[in-house]
Amino acid sequence: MLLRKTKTYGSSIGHQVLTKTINQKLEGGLIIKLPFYFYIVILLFLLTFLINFFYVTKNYSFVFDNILKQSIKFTFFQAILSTIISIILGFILSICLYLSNFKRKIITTFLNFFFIAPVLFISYGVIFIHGSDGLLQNIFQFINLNFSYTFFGIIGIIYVTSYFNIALSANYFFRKLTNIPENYLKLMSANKISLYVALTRCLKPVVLNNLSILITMVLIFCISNFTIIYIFASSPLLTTIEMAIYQKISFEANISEAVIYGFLQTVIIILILIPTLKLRNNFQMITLKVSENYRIYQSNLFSSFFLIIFFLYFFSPCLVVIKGLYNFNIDLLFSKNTILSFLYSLIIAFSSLCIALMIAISSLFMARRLHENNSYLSNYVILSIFIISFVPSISLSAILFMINVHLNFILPNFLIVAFINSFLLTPLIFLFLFPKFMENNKFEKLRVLQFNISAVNRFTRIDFLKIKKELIVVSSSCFVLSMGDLTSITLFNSSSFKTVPYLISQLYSSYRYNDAFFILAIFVLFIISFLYMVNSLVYKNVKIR
Amino acid sequence: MLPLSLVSKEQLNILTYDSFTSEWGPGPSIQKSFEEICDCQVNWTTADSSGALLSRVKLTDNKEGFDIILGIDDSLMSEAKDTNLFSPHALSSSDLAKLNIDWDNETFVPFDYGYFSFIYNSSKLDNPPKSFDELTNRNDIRIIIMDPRTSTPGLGLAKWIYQLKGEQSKDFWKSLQDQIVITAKSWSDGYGLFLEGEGDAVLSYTTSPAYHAIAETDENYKAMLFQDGHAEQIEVLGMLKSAPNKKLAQKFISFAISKGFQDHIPLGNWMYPVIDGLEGSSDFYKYAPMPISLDRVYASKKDKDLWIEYWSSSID
Repeated sequence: MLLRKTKTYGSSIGHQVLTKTINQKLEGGLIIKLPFYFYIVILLFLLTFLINFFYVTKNYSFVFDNILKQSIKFTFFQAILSTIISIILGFILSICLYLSNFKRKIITTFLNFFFIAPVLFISYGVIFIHGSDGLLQNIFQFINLNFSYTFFGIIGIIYVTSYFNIALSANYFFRKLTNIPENYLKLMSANKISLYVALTRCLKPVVLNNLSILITMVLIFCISNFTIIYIFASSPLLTTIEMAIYQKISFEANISEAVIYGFLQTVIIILILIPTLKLRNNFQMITLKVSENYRIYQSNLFSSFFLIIFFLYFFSPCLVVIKGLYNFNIDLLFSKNTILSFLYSLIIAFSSLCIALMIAISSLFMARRLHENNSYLSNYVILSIFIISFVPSISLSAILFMINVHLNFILPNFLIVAFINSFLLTPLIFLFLFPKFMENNKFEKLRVLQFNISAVNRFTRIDFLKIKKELIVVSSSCFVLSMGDLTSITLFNSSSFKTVPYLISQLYSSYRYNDAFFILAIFVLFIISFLYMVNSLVYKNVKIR
Repeated sequence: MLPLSLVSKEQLNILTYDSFTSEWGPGPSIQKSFEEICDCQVNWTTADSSGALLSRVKLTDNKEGFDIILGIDDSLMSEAKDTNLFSPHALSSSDLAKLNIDWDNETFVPFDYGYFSFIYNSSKLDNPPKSFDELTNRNDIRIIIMDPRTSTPGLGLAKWIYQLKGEQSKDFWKSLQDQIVITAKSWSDGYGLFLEGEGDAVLSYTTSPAYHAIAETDENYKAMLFQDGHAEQIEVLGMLKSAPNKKLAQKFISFAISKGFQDHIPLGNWMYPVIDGLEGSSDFYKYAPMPISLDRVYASKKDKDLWIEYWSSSID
């Protein structure tokens, strides 16, 4: 009895000490926080500039004009439609892949690739297959089938926008499915529960947890489809806000209206998404589980059929690479123009990645620190990271262009493009590293306080090792995304400064289709080789089913 | 030690549209010819279209220090002049008299011109229409045009229709709507889609068939020649008031209407040169015969807004 009392007393004291320790606030780590503070200063600077635009704009009648109304309507119509399609089809694809016998590493590698594939590559690939003179129409003609259709317009826009986002959604759900705990699966197997019942009832919370973050990301990507709209919009009625901004800047020299258009888009997105931007306590893993998993469900006729359809959907545009390689042109490959474009693409990708990594890691550190200190400000850190991705990059480009004009062009164009790209990459890196970064944070906090571990030591000795693999994967994806971007470069290019996507679009616009496809093929092969090398590095010595 | 003059050559900064200075455009050859006579260095900066050139200097107030803008067209001239960013060209009337087009503008100098037309592939389309009315009656012809708000050929079509139809333009645009399959953002996008088979005809220039015939040895591409006439487009260059090197800019403007520059226009920019008697251009004229020309119109902002209004009201 006495022993029991002592034990209870001891445990109570232990609990009090533990609670006291947990409630103790963590401090230090200024050097890690610096990039985040720098980012906040930039945000405030941009905001000041924005307020100035509002101040100098005297006439707001353009806010009520038909062009803007039509742009807003179409922007959100196509984005919401693409988001719904992407998430539903992504979910179906993830189940088909989960049931298939393909290796997980291969599945995620391909899904990653389809998500980050250059927009120009997929767009031209889709035209190559579905264009009026495309492969399919030629096959129809060959078999005397009188069936013609056009892919330009809303169909093409939704088809290509969904392409990337189905891959993103499928990757997300697939990772969720592979992380279903083994004991769940065993329990369902013992009770002979079908996959449909399991997904709709038992596993619903596991699969749908944090779905709002996926919706946020997909919606943002669907709204920022400037290049796709530029290529596939067949009518002036199919205009998005980004396209209207581009028109205001490039043809009307009206930066104020362009910036206010961008501000309107940002406000609308925030209003739609703000309820979803909450820091969740349950950090459901979305990283890939690489160990052997317990399997109870097998593929069936339906899943195999859908898988074939998805396979055709994703791989058919890639045929354009064969067309490109068929038009091999060694002179063009080693021309000054091509080499410079590759060089600039690499410089921009590397610079934007470095900037984005610094800001993302710093903000992760800030968010976790505030969360661990039970501060409500942690949600605002997340909001601040996401908010910049709500601003159309073409609007952001316009603001930075004008800032550079005021600074007498002190900033080189490549640096501005790198900055703009980095602002869009930061939320991606943040989101991808977030679960790993937060893993065991309560336990870690205890140890940090007990052993008086400094913030820098915690970051370098614990965090870095924890996120190393994810960091390499997300960095390589962001590197490729930045290399393939064709938004801000449309404003900042010059005869001496262009990137590979810009060179491709330039060749394509100058009748040189074969050369454009050739450079496109080389570019895609470069990206595939790069991703392959990174993958080999990450999964080296890891045994995967 | 090198003489200082060799080390620091005078610089001429020209802002132009993208395709002009690309390695397959006339820019590199013109640069070479001019540098041979000026002992200077020509630096090109590009914007992606003719409309974007004017926007850029307007936005920056030419803080980027360009000497010359090359490539805005006659529809933008009045707007460009109103910016007060340009200086008079200082060419004498005898210099201008050498041109094969009438020209009396004091600020801008023409360097090439063309006529808008619809291009078709004669191996796929028989019996092309000979007028706009005939075109609207041919429901089998799908056409690709450009957005007049973002493309000068698009605006050119709006002007062309207005010149022929006047107040009836809106009705005419409406009758044309069913045949328009794509309204592209720029000429190059629209033309690319036409070559990919997305339309039976595309808005372009009467000179476009010359490119296919000479550069690609494909004589199937032809321009629809309308009996009621074709609207004209003139591309011009102008010197900026805040040009850092006015003397050199003036020299380049004189050079632009000389043989050294004009020689590269027909087979480089695929437009009509502004002087006659160029060697080697007979083939070009063979495949790009002059059409019936409508009267030249120098558009004001109000005119342009009206043409665009007729077009946009037909698609609401």
